[in-house]
Amino acid sequence: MMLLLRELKIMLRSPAGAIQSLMFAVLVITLFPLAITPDPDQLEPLGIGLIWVVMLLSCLLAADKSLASDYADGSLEQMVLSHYPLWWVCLVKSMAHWVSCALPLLLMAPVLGAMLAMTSENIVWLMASLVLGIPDFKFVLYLGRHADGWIESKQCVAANLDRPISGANLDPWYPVGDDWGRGLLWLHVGRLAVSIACDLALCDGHSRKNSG
Amino acid sequence: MWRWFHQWGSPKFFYHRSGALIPVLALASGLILGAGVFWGLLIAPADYQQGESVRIMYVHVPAAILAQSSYAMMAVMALISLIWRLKIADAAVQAVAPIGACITLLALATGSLWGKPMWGTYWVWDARLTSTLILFFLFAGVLALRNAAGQSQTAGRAASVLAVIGLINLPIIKYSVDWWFTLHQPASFTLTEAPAMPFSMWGPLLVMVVGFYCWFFLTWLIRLRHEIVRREVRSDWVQQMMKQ
Repeated sequence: MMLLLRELKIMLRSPAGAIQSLMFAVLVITLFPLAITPDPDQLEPLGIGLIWVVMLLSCLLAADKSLASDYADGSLEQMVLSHYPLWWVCLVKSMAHWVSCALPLLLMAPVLGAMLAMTSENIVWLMASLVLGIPDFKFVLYLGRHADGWIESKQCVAANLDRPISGANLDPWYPVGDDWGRGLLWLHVGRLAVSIACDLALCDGHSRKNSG
Repeated sequence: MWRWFHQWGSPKFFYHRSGALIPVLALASGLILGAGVFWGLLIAPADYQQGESVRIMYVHVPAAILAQSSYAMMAVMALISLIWRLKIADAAVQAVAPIGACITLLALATGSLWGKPMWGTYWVWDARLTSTLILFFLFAGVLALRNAAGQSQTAGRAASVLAVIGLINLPIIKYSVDWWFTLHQPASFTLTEAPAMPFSMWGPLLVMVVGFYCWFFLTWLIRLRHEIVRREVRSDWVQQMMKQ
């Protein structure tokens, strides 16, 4: 609980990171109508895929910050060594990161959707898929970061690439309302798989922590 | 003239003299905005085509006008700080950027709320809307550059250069409705001609515009005075003021 408060306090004191990823998302989305066409009929089918990719990139932009400074000043090490279980630390850090980075992006998504001429029904589906999908980014990222491996974030992009693919796979289905459900189901399955992988990695981290 | 310029360019002189303006501006903006809101929202007639939604105009138009003129002001200040290295001009750029960004966002938001009932969509990528969005990005860019490298002079200079270059966007916004085919109506309010709408509508609009300007100068002055004290905190006059 204290950890959550600490993370949120850090976030409130320097909102620049969250604002930066938000501005990045808006700027990138703005470039597409300027570069391709301002025609709503042509923009509309692109909307979901574009927003998914932008969300992924913005999350990555912010994710590095949330861990890097803690790693640099050694507080991350203290957290790992503290008497709290490692999964708890991870969960709290991901929750704080979700509030500081994903929540503003999620709130921005309908605005971006409206700017890309998406219908309000599709925006609702987009939001649902993002709510389900974005935690996956986090989990995969923290998987890479926390499993004592310190994978570079470029590799995390590669690991994350399956998310926009399954997210944007909703794309061909979306005129048929029912099939959205199937896409969301797959996202959910994907998330379960990722969290199981996360658990395994954490167990691994635990055993290493205990043995080392 | 030059004496006046140098006097007001000195942070100390500016800080001591500008304090008296704050209550005047606060009173004026409170009264004028209150009167304008009352007149615009309660007394002014609804439009025969647009109905009650025309009242968004009383916020949208002043915000849009103010957004552009605050950018022009920021760019002039940036130019002054680049040419004469006037410390106070740099502080003024920093003080005006967040206000301008907020006002531009307000103009965009009210515009899209107005666009939904009128055009059937919150947003279209037409020239006027896109160039105003770019105005917002310019404000945001100036802010980001300022914050990027802390308080260093390089950051201030980079932000000033961006502000001056972005000036080219203002005529684009202004003439976008004439140059391109766009949904946005051309200006209904010019300095030279009598407005096409009845007095009962442009009256409150004018009051709101004046009120917005008063509010802008009020917030700008408050921010600028804070900024001056923050920058001059090591100087004698601020130290003396702190002791009192």
